[in-house]
Amino acid sequence: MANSAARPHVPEEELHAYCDGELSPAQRVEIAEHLLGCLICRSQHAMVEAVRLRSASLLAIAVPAQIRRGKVPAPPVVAPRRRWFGIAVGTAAALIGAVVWSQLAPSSAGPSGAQLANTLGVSNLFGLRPTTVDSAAGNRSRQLEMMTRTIVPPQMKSLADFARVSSAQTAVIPAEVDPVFTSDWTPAAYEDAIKVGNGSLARVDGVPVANVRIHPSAIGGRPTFMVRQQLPDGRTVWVFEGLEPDIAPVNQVLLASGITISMVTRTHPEYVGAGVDARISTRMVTVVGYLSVDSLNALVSRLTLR
Amino acid sequence: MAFDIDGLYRTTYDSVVRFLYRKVWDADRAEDLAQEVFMRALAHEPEKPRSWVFAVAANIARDEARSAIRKRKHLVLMTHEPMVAPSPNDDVAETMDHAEQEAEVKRALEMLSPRDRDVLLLWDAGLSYPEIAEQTHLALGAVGTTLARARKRLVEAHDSMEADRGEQRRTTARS
Ligand SMILES: [Zn+2]
Repeated sequence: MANSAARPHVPEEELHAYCDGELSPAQRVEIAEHLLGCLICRSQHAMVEAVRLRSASLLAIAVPAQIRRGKVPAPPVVAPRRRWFGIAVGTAAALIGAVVWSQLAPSSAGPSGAQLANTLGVSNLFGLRPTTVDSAAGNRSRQLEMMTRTIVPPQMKSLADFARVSSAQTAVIPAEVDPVFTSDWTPAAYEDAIKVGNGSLARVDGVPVANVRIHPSAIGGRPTFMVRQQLPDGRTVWVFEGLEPDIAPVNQVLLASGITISMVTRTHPEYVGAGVDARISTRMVTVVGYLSVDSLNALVSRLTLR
Repeated sequence: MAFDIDGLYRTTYDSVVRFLYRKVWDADRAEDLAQEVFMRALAHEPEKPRSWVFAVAANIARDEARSAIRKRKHLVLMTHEPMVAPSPNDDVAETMDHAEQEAEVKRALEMLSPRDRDVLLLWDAGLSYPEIAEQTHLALGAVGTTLARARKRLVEAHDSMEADRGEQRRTTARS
């Protein structure tokens, strides 16, 4: 009690600094002694500690997945190459690769590990990021490149199709019904749909497929697919995958219905048709459902083409 | 002493990405900007590399926020192969839960004043009070006060959202 009487209570911000280890040794001792003798400051100290921990744990949620999983890309090595002519850049890159790999690799690192790390290091030379490196299956390592583009507006070419679809589908869609009406969409077994898609069909990985519906392309290309998937909690999402001109009107219908649409993912441009009729198109993929857009975007990161 | 970019990178890369991520809310963009920060560090060889890196990161993030008025959408350019190999241990429900939790943290952070938020993020990035003071032009004595306020507001903002959500659930259940 003598202590607390000798000195005013410790201000809250000083308790933060005390907990943060930002006080001088002398200040620390002074506060520690006060805390020993003062019940009020001890309880205040406990509250400060709780707020500190709570705020730190909240911030810990807002961390990119790559960092959460401890995947750190190699440092930039373009500039040193330009500046330090004499240095064996290859060796430096290999070393960096090794460091990165040791951070990446779980204990089960196989012989493909070094190779994988190298891919990672080299890709970063040019500012490319492998978004995901699946170390359990080394052969699945690949690079994804970000593009900044606005969502492609609906193509005029397919507006007729859009009108046809939308006339029957302007009403708000009940939660338990497939978001696009079924008449123009042919149901197909998943395996058959994959065949129609030439062995490749977008879906959320790790979630069972309930059914697939297929819609012919308005431009005579790859059809549009609607893969219905059931999440573990029973909610449904639909993965829409189709050529750019075909998917845009579908998205318009979905937007009008009030259902939530994820950000749009697109494939590399690919050829549609053959010979003189061949033209380049791009497959667009969205995840749709009665969920928050954050949840849907999280599912986009789990999309797989198979 | 030679400028140790590798050391700087190893010790601060994660923090810089986290710091940038909480400003731009896009993991890939945050990594791109972090690369940019370290490229600039290589060119400048700053005297106080740690503070310097976060000062530059803050500037870049500010420029980014201004240019975001263009309202771009990020689109992923995929290969013909699977787009992303999801982490095998990562459960779908977990991924979604995380996205929702993160959105709440983001909203809570947005309720702080820019200064409070900066101080909080810089502290979380590993900067000391003097380093934070230098960067934010706050008096050293004001850092603790600001940080204390920022932490409390973040927790309060988040708790009030949780409470609202609980209230909404009850309302929905009743109707
Ligand atoms: Zn006291």
